[in-house]
Amino acid sequence: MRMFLGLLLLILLATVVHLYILNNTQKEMNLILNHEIERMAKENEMAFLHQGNRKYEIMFNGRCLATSQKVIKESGDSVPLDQLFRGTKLVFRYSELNCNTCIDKQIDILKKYAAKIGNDNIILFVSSTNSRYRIQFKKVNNIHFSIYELSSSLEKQLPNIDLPYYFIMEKDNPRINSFFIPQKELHQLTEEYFREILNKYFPKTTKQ
Amino acid sequence: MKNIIAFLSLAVFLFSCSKKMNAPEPSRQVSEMKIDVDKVTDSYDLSQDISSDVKIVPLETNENCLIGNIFKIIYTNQTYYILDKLSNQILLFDDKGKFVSKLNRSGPGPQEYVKIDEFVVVGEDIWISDNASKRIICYNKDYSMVESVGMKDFWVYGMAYNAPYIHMVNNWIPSGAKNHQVCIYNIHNKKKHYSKPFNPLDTDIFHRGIKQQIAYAENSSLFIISYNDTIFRMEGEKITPVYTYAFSKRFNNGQRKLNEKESPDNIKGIIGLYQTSKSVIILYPDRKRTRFAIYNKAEKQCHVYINIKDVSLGNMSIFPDYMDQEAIISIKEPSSLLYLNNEEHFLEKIDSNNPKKEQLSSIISNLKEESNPIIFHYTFKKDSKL
Repeated sequence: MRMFLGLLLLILLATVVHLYILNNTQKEMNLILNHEIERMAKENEMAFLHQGNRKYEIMFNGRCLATSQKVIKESGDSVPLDQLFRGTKLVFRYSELNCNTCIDKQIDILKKYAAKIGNDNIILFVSSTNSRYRIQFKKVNNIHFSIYELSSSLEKQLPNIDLPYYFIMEKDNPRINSFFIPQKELHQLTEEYFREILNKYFPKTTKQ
Repeated sequence: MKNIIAFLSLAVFLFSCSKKMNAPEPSRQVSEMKIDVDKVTDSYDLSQDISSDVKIVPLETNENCLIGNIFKIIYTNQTYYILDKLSNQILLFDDKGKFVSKLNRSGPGPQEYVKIDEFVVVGEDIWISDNASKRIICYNKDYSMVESVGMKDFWVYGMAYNAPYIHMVNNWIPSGAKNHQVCIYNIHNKKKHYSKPFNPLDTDIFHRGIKQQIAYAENSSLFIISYNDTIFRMEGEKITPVYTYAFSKRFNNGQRKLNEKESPDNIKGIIGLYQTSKSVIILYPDRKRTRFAIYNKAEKQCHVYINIKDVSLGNMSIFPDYMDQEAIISIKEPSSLLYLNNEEHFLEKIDSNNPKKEQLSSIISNLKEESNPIIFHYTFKKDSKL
């Protein structure tokens, strides 16, 4: 009887130890699996994002803008595009509804390169629900670039794609060049874009 | 010896029956909300549900209180609390629209916040969430910081107050082990409970650009979260699934393959959730237009509308910026009132006996495009259907 009870106790102890180890291993496995799922989900999401961005690049690069179309100045007056593009300009296009962090990051980088590009050569095109947004945006971010609201016809050519984007417009060339969608996760790529456009479009300004 | 055996047997039994904490309460009363996207009725006339004394409040405009981008509005203590995400501050206006004060303590200091992401009002205190510094912070009526609570690994996207709890929800990829979906903070005993109560579905539902993820009314908060087709209720510390929603078609609820082209006709998710005592209101974008699905809690029926209108105010469309069991608040930009004269200005459609016509007319005549917005504050009738 004693031997039987001893054996039973041993089996029970072994079962408890086994269940404990099994539970711990399962927890570790779950953790590894969760990390792996998270990593794959992020990779998948980035792949989607890249694919989408490349599509936009193909769509926008070389697109011809009708320079007679108008944008709205801070004062509320309208101004045709050909009056804005009297020289090479870097255009930053965004919407009030885009993610705030994405816009803030780009404003920081624009401020960083503003001296090299020239404040006058940076133009902001925005879609906003009210004119106060443009006034407040300049004040809050302490920027000196010109900011314009798009007319509805121009908005069709430069639509809000839920992400802010950059492009270059040159004098006497109504075509969009060097279209680029910055991603806040890939800050180095945005830096590279700025170095590239500095060399290509603003070399004189850079030397100054 | 017998006791030891009994104890060990009990230990084995309990060990094998251990249950994860914070799992949602199982509920057999989960109702299905069927949203028929092809059966869209013209517009919902709100005038049948609201009392005639709609408050029209033009907000004071001056350099100190210019509002750039309204993210959230709360009406309590006879005060409108407005979160302006652009200027990163909360502005307070009294119920006549006069600017009272503002919470503007952004900065790197320990008493300051980096960015206000969400807020609730508790008594006269304002609780804000600051995801950048991973904290929720309480400021008193003098805007001194009175409490700061660390929110490790939790980004607050939606916040509601349900005394004594602050309910908070996340809206991120819920696959990570640490990625909690809900946090409930008890302001009395200072305890917080994180929870990841539901596993993500194999789905592409992501409520991008969601403005209203949590809806408070009648002592409970309803909330939705990405990668799930369920609307949950939080009551105190209890989380219960209450509704599942399903669009009749064009809903992108399947896992999209990398090379699969996404149709622009797809309904990608929900952008707003509100509740009253009788209804749950879901806002979703369909082909770049917002649709309003109104679910009657008693009848368990859902009807979809192109918009919500107030017939008594010249068919003015009402986009809810705040809603609970007592009121709807809609914010109108001056441009939307100044340039509504497509064929006939909405003022012309208002009955000349309506006293609001004269008030609106006077407000509009003093409006400039850069003026602060105008608040339309509607109170529900007791026998309201909504």
